[in-house]
Amino acid sequence: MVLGIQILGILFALAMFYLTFHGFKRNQTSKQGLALWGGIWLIVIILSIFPQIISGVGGKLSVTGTIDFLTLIGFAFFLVLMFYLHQKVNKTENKLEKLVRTIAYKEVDKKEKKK
Amino acid sequence: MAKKIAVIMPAWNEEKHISEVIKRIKHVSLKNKLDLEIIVIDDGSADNTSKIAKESKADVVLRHIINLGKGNAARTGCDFAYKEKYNIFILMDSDGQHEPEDIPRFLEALKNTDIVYGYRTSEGKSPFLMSVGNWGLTWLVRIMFGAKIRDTQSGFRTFRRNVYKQLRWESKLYGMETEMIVNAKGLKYKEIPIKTIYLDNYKGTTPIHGIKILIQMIKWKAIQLLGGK
Repeated sequence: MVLGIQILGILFALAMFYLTFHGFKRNQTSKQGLALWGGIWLIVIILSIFPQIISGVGGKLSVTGTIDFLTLIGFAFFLVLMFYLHQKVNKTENKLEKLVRTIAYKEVDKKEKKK
Repeated sequence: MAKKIAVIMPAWNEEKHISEVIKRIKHVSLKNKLDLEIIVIDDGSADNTSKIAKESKADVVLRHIINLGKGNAARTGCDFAYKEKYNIFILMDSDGQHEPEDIPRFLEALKNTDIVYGYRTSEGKSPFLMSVGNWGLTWLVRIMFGAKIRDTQSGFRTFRRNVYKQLRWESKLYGMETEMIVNAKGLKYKEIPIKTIYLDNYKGTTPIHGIKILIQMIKWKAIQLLGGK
Protein backbone atom coordinates (compact mmCIF):
# COMPACT_ATOMS: atom_id res chain seq x y z
CA MET A 1 0.00 0.00 0.00
CA VAL A 2 1.17 3.55 -0.70
CA LEU A 3 2.72 5.19 2.38
CA GLY A 4 0.67 8.37 1.98
CA ILE A 5 -2.58 6.43 2.13
CA GLN A 6 -1.38 4.53 5.19
CA ILE A 7 -0.60 7.79 6.97
CA LEU A 8 -3.96 9.26 5.93
CA GLY A 9 -5.71 6.13 7.20
CA ILE A 10 -3.99 6.39 10.60
CA LEU A 11 -4.72 10.11 10.93
CA PHE A 12 -8.37 9.60 9.91
CA ALA A 13 -8.84 6.81 12.45
CA LEU A 14 -7.18 8.85 15.20
CA ALA A 15 -9.42 11.84 14.44
CA MET A 16 -12.51 9.62 14.49
CA PHE A 17 -11.39 8.00 17.70
CA TYR A 18 -11.01 11.43 19.29
CA LEU A 19 -14.52 12.43 18.14
CA THR A 20 -15.97 9.18 19.46
CA PHE A 21 -14.25 9.64 22.83
CA HIS A 22 -15.37 13.28 22.95
CA GLY A 23 -18.94 12.16 22.29
CA PHE A 24 -18.66 9.65 25.12
CA LYS A 25 -17.43 12.29 27.56
CA ARG A 26 -20.42 14.48 26.62
CA ASN A 27 -22.82 11.58 27.17
CA GLN A 28 -23.73 11.54 23.47
CA THR A 29 -22.24 8.07 23.03
CA SER A 30 -22.81 5.13 25.36
CA LYS A 31 -20.09 2.81 26.70
CA GLN A 32 -21.16 0.22 24.15
CA GLY A 33 -20.94 2.81 21.37
CA LEU A 34 -17.45 3.80 22.50
CA ALA A 35 -16.38 0.15 22.60
CA LEU A 36 -17.86 -0.59 19.15
CA TRP A 37 -16.60 2.48 17.30
CA GLY A 38 -13.33 2.57 19.21
CA GLY A 39 -12.78 -1.02 18.08
CA ILE A 40 -13.55 -0.11 14.47
CA TRP A 41 -11.09 2.82 14.48
CA LEU A 42 -8.44 0.61 16.11
CA ILE A 43 -8.89 -1.97 13.33
CA VAL A 44 -8.48 0.82 10.74
CA ILE A 45 -5.21 1.89 12.42
CA ILE A 46 -3.88 -1.68 12.55
CA LEU A 47 -4.78 -2.32 8.91
CA SER A 48 -3.20 0.99 7.89
CA ILE A 49 0.07 0.04 9.66
CA PHE A 50 -0.01 -3.63 8.56
CA PRO A 51 -1.80 -3.73 5.16
CA GLN A 52 -0.30 -7.14 4.46
CA ILE A 53 -3.02 -8.60 6.75
CA ILE A 54 -5.62 -7.65 4.14
CA SER A 55 -3.50 -8.66 1.14
CA GLY A 56 -3.68 -12.30 2.22
CA VAL A 57 -7.46 -12.23 2.64
CA GLY A 58 -7.97 -10.21 -0.53
CA GLY A 59 -5.86 -12.63 -2.51
CA LYS A 60 -8.03 -15.58 -1.43
CA LEU A 61 -11.13 -13.65 -2.60
CA SER A 62 -9.45 -12.79 -5.93
CA VAL A 63 -9.44 -9.06 -5.16
CA THR A 64 -6.15 -7.82 -6.59
CA GLY A 65 -5.51 -4.46 -4.88
CA THR A 66 -5.55 -3.81 -1.12
CA ILE A 67 -7.33 -0.51 -1.73
CA ASP A 68 -9.95 -2.28 -3.85
CA PHE A 69 -10.54 -4.75 -1.08
CA LEU A 70 -10.79 -2.02 1.54
CA THR A 71 -13.23 -0.12 -0.69
CA LEU A 72 -15.42 -3.19 -1.05
CA ILE A 73 -15.39 -3.85 2.68
CA GLY A 74 -16.13 -0.18 3.38
CA PHE A 75 -19.02 -0.16 0.91
CA ALA A 76 -20.55 -3.33 2.36
CA PHE A 77 -20.17 -1.94 5.88
CA PHE A 78 -21.96 1.31 4.99
CA LEU A 79 -24.77 -0.57 3.27
CA VAL A 80 -25.33 -2.60 6.42
CA LEU A 81 -25.16 0.55 8.53
CA MET A 82 -27.68 2.35 6.27
CA PHE A 83 -30.07 -0.58 6.50
CA TYR A 84 -29.77 -0.62 10.29
CA LEU A 85 -30.35 3.14 10.53
CA HIS A 86 -33.32 2.89 8.15
CA GLN A 87 -34.91 0.27 10.40
CA LYS A 88 -34.21 2.36 13.49
CA VAL A 89 -35.68 5.53 11.98
CA ASN A 90 -38.81 3.66 10.84
CA LYS A 91 -39.29 2.17 14.27
CA THR A 92 -38.83 5.56 15.97
CA GLU A 93 -41.24 7.23 13.55
CA ASN A 94 -43.90 4.62 14.24
CA LYS A 95 -43.49 5.01 17.99
CA LEU A 96 -43.72 8.80 17.66
CA GLU A 97 -46.90 8.60 15.60
CA LYS A 98 -48.48 6.23 18.10
CA LEU A 99 -47.55 8.55 20.97
CA VAL A 100 -48.89 11.70 19.28
CA ARG A 101 -52.13 9.91 18.39
CA THR A 102 -52.57 8.61 21.96
CA ILE A 103 -52.13 12.12 23.35
CA ALA A 104 -54.66 13.50 20.85
CA TYR A 105 -57.27 10.89 21.86
CA LYS A 106 -56.60 11.38 25.58
CA GLU A 107 -57.33 15.12 25.30
CA VAL A 108 -60.68 14.38 23.72
CA ASP A 109 -61.48 11.73 26.35
CA LYS A 110 -60.69 14.27 29.10
CA LYS A 111 -63.13 16.77 27.62
CA GLU A 112 -65.84 14.10 27.27
CA LYS A 113 -65.44 13.19 30.96
CA LYS A 114 -65.67 16.86 32.02
CA LYS A 115 -69.02 17.14 30.19
CA MET B 1 -80.30 3.57 14.91
CA ALA B 2 -79.60 6.87 13.07
CA LYS B 3 -76.60 6.82 10.76
CA LYS B 4 -73.73 8.79 12.22
CA ILE B 5 -71.83 10.68 9.55
CA ALA B 6 -68.31 11.88 10.32
CA VAL B 7 -66.86 14.75 8.31
CA ILE B 8 -63.15 14.22 8.86
CA MET B 9 -60.94 17.23 8.18
CA PRO B 10 -57.17 17.17 8.63
CA ALA B 11 -55.97 20.74 9.16
CA TRP B 12 -52.56 22.36 9.25
CA ASN B 13 -52.29 26.10 9.83
CA GLU B 14 -55.83 26.73 8.59
CA GLU B 15 -56.92 29.46 11.00
CA LYS B 16 -57.94 31.61 8.00
CA HIS B 17 -60.31 29.08 6.42
CA ILE B 18 -61.46 26.54 8.96
CA SER B 19 -64.17 28.63 10.60
CA GLU B 20 -65.87 29.30 7.28
CA VAL B 21 -65.69 25.64 6.24
CA ILE B 22 -67.18 24.47 9.56
CA LYS B 23 -69.99 27.03 9.31
CA ARG B 24 -70.83 25.89 5.79
CA ILE B 25 -70.90 22.23 6.84
CA LYS B 26 -73.26 23.07 9.72
CA HIS B 27 -75.48 24.97 7.31
CA VAL B 28 -75.55 21.99 4.92
CA SER B 29 -76.35 19.69 7.85
CA LEU B 30 -79.28 21.85 8.91
CA LYS B 31 -80.63 22.54 5.45
CA ASN B 32 -80.55 18.88 4.36
CA LYS B 33 -81.48 17.41 7.77
CA LEU B 34 -78.26 15.43 7.89
CA ASP B 35 -76.59 14.35 11.11
CA LEU B 36 -73.10 15.52 10.18
CA GLU B 37 -70.49 15.54 12.92
CA ILE B 38 -67.34 17.47 12.26
CA ILE B 39 -64.03 15.95 13.34
CA VAL B 40 -61.09 18.31 12.90
CA ILE B 41 -57.57 16.95 13.27
CA ASP B 42 -55.13 19.77 13.95
CA ASP B 43 -51.85 18.40 12.66
CA GLY B 44 -49.44 20.36 14.83
CA SER B 45 -50.48 23.79 13.59
CA ALA B 46 -48.40 26.80 14.60
CA ASP B 47 -51.46 29.08 14.48
CA ASN B 48 -54.88 29.06 16.16
CA THR B 49 -56.46 26.31 14.06
CA SER B 50 -57.55 24.24 17.10
CA LYS B 51 -58.88 27.23 19.02
CA ILE B 52 -60.89 28.51 16.06
CA ALA B 53 -62.21 25.03 15.25
CA LYS B 54 -63.48 24.71 18.83
CA GLU B 55 -64.96 28.21 18.78
CA SER B 56 -66.70 27.37 15.51
CA LYS B 57 -68.28 24.43 17.34
CA ALA B 58 -66.61 21.54 15.56
CA ASP B 59 -67.93 18.41 17.30
CA VAL B 60 -64.49 16.92 17.93
CA VAL B 61 -61.08 18.57 17.69
CA LEU B 62 -58.14 16.19 17.86
CA ARG B 63 -54.72 17.76 18.14
CA HIS B 64 -51.35 16.33 17.14
CA ILE B 65 -48.71 18.00 19.29
CA ILE B 66 -46.32 17.87 16.33
CA ASN B 67 -46.92 17.79 12.59
CA LEU B 68 -47.15 14.21 11.31
CA GLY B 69 -48.47 14.79 7.79
CA LYS B 70 -51.87 14.65 6.11
CA GLY B 71 -51.97 10.87 5.84
CA ASN B 72 -51.35 10.48 9.55
CA ALA B 73 -53.86 13.19 10.45
CA ALA B 74 -56.56 11.59 8.32
CA ARG B 75 -55.79 8.22 9.90
CA THR B 76 -56.09 9.70 13.39
CA GLY B 77 -59.52 11.09 12.47
CA CYS B 78 -60.73 7.91 10.75
CA ASP B 79 -59.45 5.65 13.54
CA PHE B 80 -61.34 7.82 16.01
CA ALA B 81 -64.50 7.75 13.88
CA TYR B 82 -64.21 3.97 13.54
CA LYS B 83 -63.82 3.53 17.31
CA GLU B 84 -66.81 5.81 17.93
CA LYS B 85 -68.87 3.72 15.49
CA TYR B 86 -69.61 6.32 12.86
CA ASN B 87 -71.29 4.65 9.87
CA ILE B 88 -70.17 6.96 7.08
CA PHE B 89 -66.84 8.75 6.73
CA ILE B 90 -66.46 11.88 4.63
CA LEU B 91 -62.90 13.01 4.06
CA MET B 92 -62.43 16.59 2.98
CA ASP B 93 -59.88 19.37 3.14
CA SER B 94 -60.19 22.16 5.68
CA ASP B 95 -58.72 24.89 3.51
CA GLY B 96 -61.84 25.75 1.50
CA GLN B 97 -60.79 23.77 -1.59
CA HIS B 98 -63.75 21.42 -1.16
CA GLU B 99 -67.28 22.74 -1.09
CA PRO B 100 -69.35 21.42 1.83
CA GLU B 101 -72.45 21.96 -0.34
CA ASP B 102 -71.35 18.88 -2.32
CA ILE B 103 -71.77 16.60 0.71
CA PRO B 104 -75.42 15.67 -0.04
CA ARG B 105 -74.39 14.57 -3.56
CA PHE B 106 -71.65 12.37 -2.11
CA LEU B 107 -74.09 10.77 0.32
CA GLU B 108 -76.65 10.21 -2.43
CA ALA B 109 -74.03 8.53 -4.62
CA LEU B 110 -72.87 6.37 -1.67
CA LYS B 111 -76.30 4.73 -1.32
CA ASN B 112 -75.49 1.86 -3.71
CA THR B 113 -71.75 1.70 -3.46
CA ASP B 114 -68.82 1.39 -1.04
CA ILE B 115 -66.79 4.48 -1.85
CA VAL B 116 -67.37 7.73 -3.73
CA TYR B 117 -64.47 9.73 -5.16
CA GLY B 118 -64.73 13.38 -6.10
CA TYR B 119 -62.95 14.35 -9.30
CA ARG B 120 -61.98 17.91 -10.12
CA THR B 121 -63.39 19.25 -13.34
CA SER B 122 -61.60 21.59 -15.69
CA GLU B 123 -63.87 24.38 -14.44
CA GLY B 124 -61.68 26.49 -12.20
CA LYS B 125 -57.95 27.22 -12.36
CA SER B 126 -55.19 25.13 -10.90
CA PRO B 127 -51.42 25.68 -11.04
CA PHE B 128 -49.96 24.22 -14.24
CA LEU B 129 -47.37 22.03 -12.51
CA MET B 130 -50.01 20.56 -10.20
CA SER B 131 -52.30 19.81 -13.15
CA VAL B 132 -49.51 18.03 -15.00
CA GLY B 133 -48.42 16.11 -11.91
CA ASN B 134 -51.99 15.14 -11.12
CA TRP B 135 -52.60 13.92 -14.66
CA GLY B 136 -49.33 11.95 -14.57
CA LEU B 137 -50.11 10.21 -11.27
CA THR B 138 -53.69 9.45 -12.33
CA TRP B 139 -52.43 7.90 -15.54
CA LEU B 140 -49.77 5.86 -13.69
CA VAL B 141 -52.33 4.51 -11.20
CA ARG B 142 -54.41 3.37 -14.13
CA ILE B 143 -51.45 1.63 -15.80
CA MET B 144 -49.99 0.08 -12.66
CA PHE B 145 -53.12 -0.86 -10.71
CA GLY B 146 -55.90 -0.89 -13.31
CA ALA B 147 -57.90 1.62 -11.23
CA LYS B 148 -59.78 3.86 -13.65
CA ILE B 149 -60.14 6.81 -11.28
CA ARG B 150 -60.33 10.21 -12.96
CA ASP B 151 -58.58 12.18 -10.22
CA THR B 152 -56.41 10.11 -7.88
CA GLN B 153 -55.17 13.08 -5.88
CA SER B 154 -58.55 14.56 -4.96
CA GLY B 155 -59.01 14.28 -1.21
CA PHE B 156 -62.79 14.72 -1.24
CA ARG B 157 -64.25 11.24 -0.86
CA THR B 158 -66.67 9.27 1.22
CA PHE B 159 -66.89 5.63 2.22
CA ARG B 160 -68.69 3.29 4.58
CA ARG B 161 -67.38 2.19 7.94
CA ASN B 162 -67.31 -1.47 6.94
CA VAL B 163 -64.69 -0.83 4.24
CA TYR B 164 -62.39 1.35 6.35
CA LYS B 165 -60.17 -1.51 7.51
CA GLN B 166 -59.50 -2.49 3.92
CA LEU B 167 -58.85 1.10 2.86
CA ARG B 168 -56.70 2.03 5.84
CA TRP B 169 -53.41 3.45 4.56
CA GLU B 170 -49.85 3.58 5.88
CA SER B 171 -48.81 6.73 4.00
CA LYS B 172 -47.87 9.61 6.22
CA LEU B 173 -48.25 12.44 3.71
CA TYR B 174 -50.10 12.95 0.42
CA GLY B 175 -49.63 9.39 -0.79
CA MET B 176 -52.67 8.41 1.29
CA GLU B 177 -55.13 9.31 -1.50
CA THR B 178 -53.37 7.04 -3.96
CA GLU B 179 -52.85 4.29 -1.40
CA MET B 180 -56.57 4.31 -0.61
CA ILE B 181 -57.31 3.68 -4.28
CA VAL B 182 -54.78 0.83 -4.39
CA ASN B 183 -56.28 -0.69 -1.23
CA ALA B 184 -59.84 -0.30 -2.59
CA LYS B 185 -59.34 -3.16 -5.04
CA GLY B 186 -62.56 -5.12 -5.39
CA LEU B 187 -64.79 -2.46 -3.80
CA LYS B 188 -67.68 -0.83 -5.66
CA TYR B 189 -67.13 2.82 -6.33
CA LYS B 190 -68.61 5.89 -8.03
CA GLU B 191 -67.14 9.22 -9.05
CA ILE B 192 -68.81 12.61 -8.93
CA PRO B 193 -67.55 15.93 -10.29
CA ILE B 194 -66.43 18.66 -7.94
CA LYS B 195 -65.16 22.19 -8.53
CA THR B 196 -61.44 22.92 -8.85
CA ILE B 197 -60.51 25.48 -6.23
CA TYR B 198 -56.95 26.52 -5.40
CA LEU B 199 -56.52 29.15 -2.74
CA ASP B 200 -52.83 28.73 -1.92
CA ASN B 201 -50.24 27.84 -4.57
CA TYR B 202 -47.68 26.96 -1.90
CA LYS B 203 -49.64 24.32 -0.04
CA GLY B 204 -50.64 20.84 -1.06
CA THR B 205 -48.82 18.29 -3.18
CA THR B 206 -45.51 19.54 -4.57
CA PRO B 207 -43.38 17.89 -7.31
CA ILE B 208 -41.24 16.39 -4.51
CA HIS B 209 -44.38 14.80 -3.04
CA GLY B 210 -45.23 13.56 -6.51
CA ILE B 211 -41.87 11.78 -6.75
CA LYS B 212 -42.35 10.30 -3.27
CA ILE B 213 -45.82 9.06 -4.26
CA LEU B 214 -44.34 7.48 -7.39
CA ILE B 215 -41.74 5.64 -5.30
CA GLN B 216 -44.50 4.46 -2.95
CA MET B 217 -46.54 3.26 -5.95
CA ILE B 218 -43.62 1.11 -7.07
CA LYS B 219 -43.42 -0.29 -3.52
CA TRP B 220 -47.19 -1.06 -3.44
CA LYS B 221 -47.03 -2.72 -6.85
CA ALA B 222 -44.16 -4.90 -5.66
CA ILE B 223 -46.16 -5.85 -2.54
CA GLN B 224 -49.20 -6.57 -4.71
CA LEU B 225 -47.18 -8.83 -7.01
CA LEU B 226 -45.88 -10.69 -3.97
CA GLY B 227 -49.48 -11.22 -2.86
CA GLY B 228 -49.42 -8.65 -0.05
CA LYS B 229 -52.03 -6.02 -1.04
